[in-house]
Amino acid sequence: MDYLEKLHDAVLNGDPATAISITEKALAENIDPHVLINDYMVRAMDEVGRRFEKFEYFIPQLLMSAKAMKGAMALIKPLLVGDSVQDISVCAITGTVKGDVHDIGKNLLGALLEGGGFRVVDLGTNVSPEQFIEAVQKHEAKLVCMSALLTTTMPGMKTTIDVFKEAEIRDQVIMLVGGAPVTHHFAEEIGADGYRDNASAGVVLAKELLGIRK
Amino acid sequence: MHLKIISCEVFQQELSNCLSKTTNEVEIEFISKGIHDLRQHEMKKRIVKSIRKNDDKGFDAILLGYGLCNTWVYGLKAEITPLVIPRSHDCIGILMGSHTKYENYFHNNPGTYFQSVGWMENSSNSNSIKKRSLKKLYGLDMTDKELITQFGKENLPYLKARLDQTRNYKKITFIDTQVEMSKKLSKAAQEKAESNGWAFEELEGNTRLLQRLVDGVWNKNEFLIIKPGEKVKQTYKEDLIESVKATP
Ligand code: B12
Repeated sequence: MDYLEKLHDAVLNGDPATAISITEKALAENIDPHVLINDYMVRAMDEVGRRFEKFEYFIPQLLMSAKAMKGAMALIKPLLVGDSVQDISVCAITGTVKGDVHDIGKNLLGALLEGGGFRVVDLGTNVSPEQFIEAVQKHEAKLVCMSALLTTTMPGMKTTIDVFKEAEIRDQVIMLVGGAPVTHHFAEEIGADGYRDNASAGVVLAKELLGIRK
Repeated sequence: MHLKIISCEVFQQELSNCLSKTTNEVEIEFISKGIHDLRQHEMKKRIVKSIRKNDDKGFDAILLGYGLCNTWVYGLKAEITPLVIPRSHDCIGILMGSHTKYENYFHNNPGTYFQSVGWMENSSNSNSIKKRSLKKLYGLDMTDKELITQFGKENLPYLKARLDQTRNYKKITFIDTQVEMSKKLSKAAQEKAESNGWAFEELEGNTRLLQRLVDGVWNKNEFLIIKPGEKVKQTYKEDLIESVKATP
């Protein structure tokens, strides 16, 4: 099974074609899909996140790694239907808050969440509190990740959390906030569950708070 | 009063007009708009350098022609001379002449790209800034050719769709502060909007905040005065920022 390390490398180096061909081969040989995901791809994406965090990886490189993993996952997903293993199907909602259309950072977070095994539902940009609630209910999400890049739109994070409280579903989800102008202090002030200044640390935090093993 | 103003060049023409109407003696220094594209601490370092250089020159106050931009202003300390800054998220609010007006407009017009003469005239960066910019650091400045060389032609559409910076825009709003080139650049902004299929609006600007800044009319709800020994703290409220005692 030595060739499986090539799956790790293909994701790390952002090589979708190789990632797909190795996955095909592995599945044909009946290798457990969870092994492919957790022991090879998630590990690779963790490293991608770390490199990005240290400015060793550019955004396009991270996007290519995400594409490689997505390609492999497309082959694996049908095999996971009805799967009982919880941690690869935890649903995360991502979105940039109302009034804000910056989404590069939010999309990277989405890619790393997927890389970390989450099922991600992205609501895009300019997302209202009501849209967040609707999505959480529809997808039975456990995690809400809000992004804001403007000091003008940061208050939208507070509004969203407040609306969750009013709807009495605040306790059912972990709510994380991020984006360049956001701070730990702000996160505390508005009653979020956490903040990180980069996407890869955000994924680590999400897993921690949800009690998902690494 | 004898004042120093350190300002983003985005206000160059508007401030020159305000200075011609003030009775104060104001020395002016513009800093390149491009520093907004650097990392937050680098932007801050550049502005603080100019502040410190003027701190012991006996000015009654040093005025700052900036908003919270990039949150550079959090933690800014006044040492010898008091500092004065308008309470605004960014230059757009200052050009509209009212922070509240900006907030209202902003929330009623999501996906708007704001333009003004100063924005459009200072939109290209020097090489030294380009090299240190956030875009460079993140690889957001890569050309199609570079993307193809590194990632292959087949991946170009995928990457471009995700790197395209303007995909979420719906509208351009040009703020007309009635300075030279206003008419021409407003038209250029309109053409850009039309060619992208976006809406366009021309909004009347107002230089009252800049005028009050140089006139020394610093009412509390529109300006923050940072006295020596104090620093700027964010408030998450309508007033945006407050000054608190700086711990040495
Ligand atoms: C690219 C950019 C744009 C692009 C956005 C393209 C896009 N599709 O996203 C465009 C050109 C459209 C744009 C528009 C505007 N922008 Co802009 N923009 C930027 C810029 C240069 C970079 C943002 C970025 O993508 N960074 C790269 C990513 C990777 O970083 P990130 O988003 O911070 O995300 C990372 C982390 O924060 C974290 N993260 C992000 N979200 C989350 C969420 C969670 C839960 C977690 C855990 C982590 C996390 O993970 C990411 C990866 O590690 C910033 C400068 C800056 N310093 O941020 C200005 C900046 C944010 N923009 C600014 C302004 C003023 C505007 C405009 C108002 C300008 C105008 N003239 O109209 C408009 C507003 C549009 C709107 N309504 O939203 C100001 C904001 C000032 C302020 N007071 O807040 C900034 C700071 C520039 C400046 N120095 O003045 N902008």
